[in-house]
Amino acid sequence: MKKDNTRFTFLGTCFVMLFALLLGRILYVLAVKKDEILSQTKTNLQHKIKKLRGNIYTNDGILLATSIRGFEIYKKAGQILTKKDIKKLKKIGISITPELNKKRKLIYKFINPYQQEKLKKLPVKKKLEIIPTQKRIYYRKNIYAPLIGFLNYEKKGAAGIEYYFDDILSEIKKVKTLEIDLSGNLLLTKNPEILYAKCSDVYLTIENPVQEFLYEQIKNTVEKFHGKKGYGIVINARTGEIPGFVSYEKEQKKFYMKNPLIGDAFEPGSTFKIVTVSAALQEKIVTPFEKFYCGEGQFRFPTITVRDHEPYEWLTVAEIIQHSSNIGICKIAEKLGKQKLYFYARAFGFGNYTGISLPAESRGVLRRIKNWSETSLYCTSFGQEVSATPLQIAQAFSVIANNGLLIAPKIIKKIVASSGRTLYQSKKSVVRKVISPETAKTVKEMLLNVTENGTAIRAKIKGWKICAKTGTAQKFDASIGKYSNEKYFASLGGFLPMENSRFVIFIGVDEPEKFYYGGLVCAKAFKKTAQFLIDYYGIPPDEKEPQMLVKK
Amino acid sequence: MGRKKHLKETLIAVAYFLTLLGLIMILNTSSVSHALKLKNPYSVFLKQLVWLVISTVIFFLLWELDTQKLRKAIPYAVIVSFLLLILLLIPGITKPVKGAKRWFFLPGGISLQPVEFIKILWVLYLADYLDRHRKQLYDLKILIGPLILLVFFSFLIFLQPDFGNTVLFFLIFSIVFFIGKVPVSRILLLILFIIPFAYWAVMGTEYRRARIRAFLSPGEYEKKESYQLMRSLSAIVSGGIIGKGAGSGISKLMYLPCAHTDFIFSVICEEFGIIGAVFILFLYSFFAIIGLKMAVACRDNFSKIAIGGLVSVIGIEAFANIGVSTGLLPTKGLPLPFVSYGGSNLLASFIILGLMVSIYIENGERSYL
Repeated sequence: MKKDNTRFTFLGTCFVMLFALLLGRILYVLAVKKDEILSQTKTNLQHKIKKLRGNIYTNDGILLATSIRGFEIYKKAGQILTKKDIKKLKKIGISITPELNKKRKLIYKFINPYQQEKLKKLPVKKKLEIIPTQKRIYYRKNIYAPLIGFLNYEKKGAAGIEYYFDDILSEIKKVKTLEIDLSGNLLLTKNPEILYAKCSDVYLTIENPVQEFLYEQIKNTVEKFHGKKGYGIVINARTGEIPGFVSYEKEQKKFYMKNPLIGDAFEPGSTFKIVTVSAALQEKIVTPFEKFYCGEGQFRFPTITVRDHEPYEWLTVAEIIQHSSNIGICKIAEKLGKQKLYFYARAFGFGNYTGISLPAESRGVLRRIKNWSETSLYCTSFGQEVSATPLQIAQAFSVIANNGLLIAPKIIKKIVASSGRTLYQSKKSVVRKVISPETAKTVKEMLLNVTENGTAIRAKIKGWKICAKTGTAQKFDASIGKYSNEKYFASLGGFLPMENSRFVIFIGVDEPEKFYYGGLVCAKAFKKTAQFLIDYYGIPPDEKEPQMLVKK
Repeated sequence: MGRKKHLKETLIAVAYFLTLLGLIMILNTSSVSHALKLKNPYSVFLKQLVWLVISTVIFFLLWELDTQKLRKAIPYAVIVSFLLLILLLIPGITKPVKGAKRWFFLPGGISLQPVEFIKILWVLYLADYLDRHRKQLYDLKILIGPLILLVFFSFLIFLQPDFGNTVLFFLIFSIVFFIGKVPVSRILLLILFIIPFAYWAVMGTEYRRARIRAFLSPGEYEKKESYQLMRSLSAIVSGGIIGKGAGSGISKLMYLPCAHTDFIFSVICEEFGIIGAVFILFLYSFFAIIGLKMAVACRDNFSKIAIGGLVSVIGIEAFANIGVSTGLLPTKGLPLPFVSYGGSNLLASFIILGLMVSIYIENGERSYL
C-alpha cells in the first residue's frame, strides 16, 4: 500500500509553527509591551503600606503623638457616585460632597476598621477603592505643637520632632510593598505582619507636669502684659536634659514650621552681661570689688554715648551686675578688649548651633571681629549687636550653673524599638570648659545678689538661693533705623540652687506693653516655676545665710 | 520500528504529566482565593482529583473498544447529540450561567457540558463519513452532507451561546476534510459557502463585537472585555524569564478572573516565567506530533483520519487557550486541555486520549507485531 502522508506532515508542521508563534507572542509581550502593561495594571493593585508610625512620649510616659490604622477611600476612575450612594455612605458616617469628575480621586481620608466592615457590605464599594492607611493623633496639642511638629499631606514629618526623627518614626528604608485587593483586604504576602508592626518610639526629656506648669505661667504672663510671644525653658543643668520647653503665641497658629525657642533670634540685652563679666573675671582683668565710675546715668565713650535707666556714681563689678548698669559693663568691656569678649561669647555658645535634636535651628548672630564697628565692643557687652535664641541664652546660664562647663542641651531621652529594645539613650555630653569653677562661683554670687537685692528681687524665694539676671532689650526697629523706645524684649534667666545648681530657668516675653522691665514682667513666672521645681524635684533649702558681697 | 512501539506510551505519559501539572496549579491558584472567600480551600482541587479518577477509569475502559462497533454507533450518537443540544435550549430544563446555557446540572453538584463530548463525536462522524465515501471526495453532492450537519450543529451551539466551540467545530471540519484527502479546491468552495453565516455570527451580537473591539485595542483598561486580557498579560509580564517561583504569583489572588480555568497558563507564566511557558508549549507540540505519527502508522483510512482529527482537537484547544491568554486571539472561554480545571474538559480530554490509543492499538500497532 502506497502511503501518502504529506497532509499529516503539513498539519504537524502547522501545529509546531502555531506553538512557536505563541512563544513569539509571549516574547514580544515581555520585550516590547512590558512597561505599557505594568503601567496600566499596577497602580490600583499594589500599595505601599508603611509600618505604623512610632509614638512620641514625654520622659514620664505621657503619650503625645500616636498613629492608628484605618482606611482611606478613593473613587475609582470612570465612576460617578449617585445621590443614593452618598446617602448610603452618610449612614455609616462617611459624608462626602458630590463629585462629577471622572478621575480617580481621594474622597475620604480616614475610616476606621468598623466602618470598613460596613462599607464592604454596601453595593457602592464597587465604585470605590478602600486602601489601608494610618492616621496621626496628637494629644495636648496646644502645649506641644511647636515642639512635636506635624505631618504633611504625604504623611511625612514636616516640622519639629516629627521631621527630625522621621526616619526613626516611620522607618522609611524598611517600607515593604504589600498587595491588597480593591476592597482593602490584605492579600497573603510574605510579610502580612507588617500591618500590625510599629516603628520605634521616641521619648522626649520633657517632664509633662513641668511643661504644663511652665506653659500656664508663660501664657498668663503674655496675657497679663499683652506680649506678643512668650518663651520658657527649663534645663536640667547637670545633664543638659530639657524638662520644660514652652513657647506661647498670642495668635496661636495651626502649624508651627519652626520652634520659636530655637528659631527666633533676638538681641538678648542685659542677660548677656554674664558673658562679659565672666570673661573679665576669668581673664583676671577685674576683681569683684573693683570700682568703676558710672557717669550718673550717662557716659560719653569715644564712639558712643551709653545711658543707664537710673544714675549711678561708683559701682563695684558685683554692683554693676546687681543693678545692671550698661555704663559699668561697657567700662569692663573696654578693659577686656574685643578679642577676649568675642572669644568668650563664642565659648558660651553664642553664634553657634546648640546641636539640639530639632530642625530649623537658628544660630543667632555673633559677627566676626573684622566685621565689628567701633561701637560693637560697647554694644555687645550689654547684649546689643548680637542676637541669640532663647535656648542659647538658657545655655549660657547653664555654663555658670555647671561651674564653667558647657553641657549640650538635650531634648531626646531615648528611642525604643517596638521590640522593647532601647536603640538610643541620651548621655550627658560636655562640650567644653568655658570658665574655671572659681570664676563661676564668683559670678554665681553676683547673680545671687540680683535676686536678693537687685533687679530680680521679685523672683526671690525665701530659704533658697536663686541666681538670676534680668534682661530688658530695646528692639531694633528696622522702619526707623534705630532702637525702638516702645518695643522691648523682657527676659529673666537664672538657676537654682546656687551651689550644686540643678535647674536653669529662662523666661522671655516679646514686646510686652506698658511694663517692659525683665525683672518685672518675667519675675512672677520665674518665681512660680522655681517654686514648682523645688516642690516637684524636692530641692532642699539652703540653710546658710547668703553671704553679701556688698553691704545693704 | 522499535521507536514506534513506544508511541502510545509516550502520548499517555505526556497527557498525564500535563494533568498532574494542572492539578498542582489548580491547587495553587484556587486554594488562596477560596480561603479568602471563607470556603474550603481544597474543594476545587478535590473535585478535580475525583474527575481525574473517573477519567482514568473511562480511559482504560476505552482501550478494549471495538472500532467497528464504534463506527456503527455513530449515527445514533449524532441523533442523541442533536437532542441534547436542543434540550439545552429549551427554557426551564437548565439554568443559564452568566447568560449562557451550556451545562446540564446533575444531582451531586456535577455539571456536564455536552459540547465537550459532541466535538469528539463530530471528529468520529466526519472520519467515518469520509472513509465511507473515500472514492467520491471530489463530488460536492457527497461533501455537502457534512456541511449541512455542521451548519445545524454550529447553529445550536451558537445559540447557547458558545462562539468558541462554534469556531472549533468549523476548524475540526476543515482539518478533518484536509487530512481526509478531500481536494483543496473543494474545501475552499465549502469554506466560501460558510462565510455569510460566519459574518452574521460575529457581527450580529453586541457583546461579540465588543470583544472584537477589545481585542483590537486591549489598552483601554476600564473596558470589561479587555480587563481579563490586561490582567492576564500583566501576570505573564510580571513573571519575566524565570518567574516568581512556584506559589508566589499574586494574580491568582483575585485580580485574574478564572485563574484556575481559562487563564491557568498566565499563572504558570507568572510563577515559572518563560521557561515554564516554553515547557508547556513544547509538551503540546510533542503531543501533537506523537498523535500525528500514530495516525500515520495506522493501516486504514478511518483510523488515520480519526486519530489525526482527535489530536487536532487537543492542539487547537491548547493553541486557542494560550492564544487568548497572551492576547493573540480575542477572548473566548476555552479551557486548556488536560490542565485547566473542569470535569467535562478533563473527561473529554481523556476520552480523546483513550480513543486515540484504542484505535491505534487495533489498527496501527498490531500491524507491526
